[in-house]
Amino acid sequence: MIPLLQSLVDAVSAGAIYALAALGIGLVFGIMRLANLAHGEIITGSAYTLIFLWEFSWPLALIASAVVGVVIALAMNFAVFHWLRAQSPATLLIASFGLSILFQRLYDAAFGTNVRTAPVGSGLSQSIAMGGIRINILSVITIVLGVVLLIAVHLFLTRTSIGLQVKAASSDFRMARILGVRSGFVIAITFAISGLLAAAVAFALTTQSGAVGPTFGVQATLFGLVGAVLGGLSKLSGAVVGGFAVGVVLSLFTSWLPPWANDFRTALVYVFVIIALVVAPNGLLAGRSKKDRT
Amino acid sequence: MTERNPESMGESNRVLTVENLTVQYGGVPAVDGISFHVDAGELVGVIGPNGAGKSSTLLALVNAVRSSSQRLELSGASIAGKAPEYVARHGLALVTEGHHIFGELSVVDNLKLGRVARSSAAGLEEDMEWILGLFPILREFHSRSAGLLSGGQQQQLAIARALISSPQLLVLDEPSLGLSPTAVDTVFAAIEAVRQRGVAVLLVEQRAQQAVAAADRTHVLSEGRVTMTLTPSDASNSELLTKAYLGS
Amino acid sequence: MTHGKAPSPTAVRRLLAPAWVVDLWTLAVPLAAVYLFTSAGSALSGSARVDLGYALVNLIIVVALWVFVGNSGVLSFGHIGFVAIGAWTMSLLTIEPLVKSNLLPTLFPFVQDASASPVVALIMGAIMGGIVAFLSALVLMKLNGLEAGIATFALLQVIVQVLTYWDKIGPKSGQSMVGIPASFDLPVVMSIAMLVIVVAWLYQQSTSARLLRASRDDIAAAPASGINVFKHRVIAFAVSGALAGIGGALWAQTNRVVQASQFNLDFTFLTIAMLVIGGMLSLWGAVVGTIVISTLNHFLGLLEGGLEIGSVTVSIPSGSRLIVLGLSLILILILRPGGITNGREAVWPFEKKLDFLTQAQRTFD
Repeated sequence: MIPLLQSLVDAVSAGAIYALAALGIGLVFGIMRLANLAHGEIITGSAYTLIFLWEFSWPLALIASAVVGVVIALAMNFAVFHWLRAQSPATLLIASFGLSILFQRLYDAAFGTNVRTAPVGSGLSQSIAMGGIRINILSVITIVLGVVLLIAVHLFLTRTSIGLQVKAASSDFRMARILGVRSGFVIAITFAISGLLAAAVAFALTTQSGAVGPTFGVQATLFGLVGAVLGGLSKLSGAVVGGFAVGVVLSLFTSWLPPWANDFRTALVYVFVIIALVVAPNGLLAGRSKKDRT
Repeated sequence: MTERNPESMGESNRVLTVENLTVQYGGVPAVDGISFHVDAGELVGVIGPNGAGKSSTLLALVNAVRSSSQRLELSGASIAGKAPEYVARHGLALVTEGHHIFGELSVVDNLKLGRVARSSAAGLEEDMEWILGLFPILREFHSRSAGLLSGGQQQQLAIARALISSPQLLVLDEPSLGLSPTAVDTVFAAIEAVRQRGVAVLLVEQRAQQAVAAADRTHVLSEGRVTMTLTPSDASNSELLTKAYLGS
Repeated sequence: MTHGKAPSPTAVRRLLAPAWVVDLWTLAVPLAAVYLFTSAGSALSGSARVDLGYALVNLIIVVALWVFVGNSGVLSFGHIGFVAIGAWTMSLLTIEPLVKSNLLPTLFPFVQDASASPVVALIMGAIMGGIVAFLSALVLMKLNGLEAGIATFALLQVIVQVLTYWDKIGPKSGQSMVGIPASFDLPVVMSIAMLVIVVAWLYQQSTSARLLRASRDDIAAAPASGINVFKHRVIAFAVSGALAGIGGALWAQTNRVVQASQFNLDFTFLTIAMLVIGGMLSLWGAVVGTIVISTLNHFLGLLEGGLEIGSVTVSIPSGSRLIVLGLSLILILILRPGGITNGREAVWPFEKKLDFLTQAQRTFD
């Protein structure tokens, strides 16, 4: 049996990763009504960058992976989603699905089906003893990274002029434009931030596994999206808490379910997702704010 | 490229020119070829029954609905087909019907959004003092969530936010709708103060008598066309106003 | 920008053919297209015949998907789950008993003993798909929009996870079932596909489907107008699930190796892309999309394998099919969001049938 405290720390760290994924997805959804399934391929792109550059120079790898995340996110916006701005959320969702599969195949063609490996952050995968309990440094760092980024995004949205414009556009896009908010600019900013958040998720996941394949980002994105929808995409805090909760539950299931049931832990999570959606279709934390505004 | 057409020489202080504006929804015209203009320092009113095309006209100005026109100019520069944010940044501030404020943001944050369309920071402090003087309640509630304000207070906030952009033309869509009598008085007093300061105002109103009395001239809109133009002296002619509303 | 007035009702009514002929035409054209497609494909080489088998199976699945998505306007990412159930049913009922007891020793005894002819197994596949779809619809069909999309995706995950790990109804975790006999040849598969199209068309003509489409075009007004959207969605989902079960059963006997992980996001994407590219609001769109993409995929597959043109061998990297499919989907959504058919059924060509046009436009405005 894994000690309780360690499994809790692991759970919170998994929750932090999915919360970051949910935040990136939720930001873009807020401003575009796009549930971006291709968010995972931004994560994958950043992760490949880390793997390829890590042994050459780790600071460079970190910077480059952030840049790659932002560039892929912006490229997706300008090449595809920009042209679909007038379309329904369902059409945007299908387009992002297509983009996701497209990127997976491109990664496959470029880097092969097999995973690429590098000891990303290998110095971090040690344990420290705290009062007789061993705690994984990596989990702690992931939690810190998550908290710092959540606070940074919060400060950006509430304390800066551009952040306010993003918030305004998320809540009433047309009114924001009538006030002079440049639609293309705030959308691009939002995609860029989602790219940065994807790079952070890529870092956290890559340090855990050290191996990246073409579908590397899919799981984090699916659980992040599921968490965001559960928490309520109409409110960012709801999306973040939802993503966090999904991560925690998944991790605790892994640690504590009996072996026979462990096989079904993903199924259990999705059964819970269905129940939660039916009980509270607008998200468990969403209050009564309206959803489809445009 | 400074060639000017000779006619525009007489329009040097013209803020808004609308010629033959048409808005259609699914082939049905909501606005059917209307023309009017607003000069600097003027208050121009637009009245008419529901569905006459008043709001559509205003939304067409900022290109928030699709329209066609012969001329659509703001201070001599065409704004036809320009994005809403472009029009806003070139000096047209629209306060839409139903006081669209951002309810989850604070009063101060709502006001800050008014600065987005402002061309320069010069004089901001001074403008801010003047605006908060018009609407003292906003100073009192500055950190409150805007969604918690009353309808009248939200309308004041929406107008204040529009004024912070330091517009050449303030466009108001039924600012008195659903307000208490005292709130209506505050709003109309503010509109008068705005005009005194030299900002042109285009005012769409349901309260015909008050609008006609306040405006330099008031166009009566019916079924998408201008059917009459009234002057302040017509404000007391209730027969004429009734006729205007019934769409003679 | 619309210029000119819509045609007056009297002009629309001035038809040379009676309405039922025009309606029947919307069935006849897809059937003829499937027949021609199959005939043309059969005349080609061996690899074309293999691809053709999969194309016809995919056609059934896409038509099944259309029954729900096209009529309700709600996206489903879950239909491959019903395909998996159909495939499972077919496999468990038709694998040789001796092979089965060796390969799948952990099955429930009644599953171990169950065996049926291919036709009965096919029907069972439809019934199982229909039942699971009906039961899940009772829970899921209260949802709209993105929530419905996520919920159907969650359903797919649950079905696939259960099929992967529950060795009482299948192989040990993640392993595959082999030895599924190929019971139906191409002409039979084609006939079944045409039958599925007929069922989908009959459903489309039903009152329930008409009411559902009315709700699709104006979801806000539907409850006020007395339409029980929930009930009609449940019906559509169940019919759709049953047809997908047929598709799954045929997929199993075409592929002959069945593994839970095959019912994945790539498969889901393939069928959704076919439907969207053809035009997801019409049955004709489902058929056109499948035929076009299957044909394209066949030739891309030839190129992936290396195609000799004269003395030069042209080849493209494997995986190109999904790259091309992803690009095609995105381009279609940007340039022609209604798909190739723009959401219209096959139009009776011998006169100007204007109300078809106006109907389609109304859907897209």
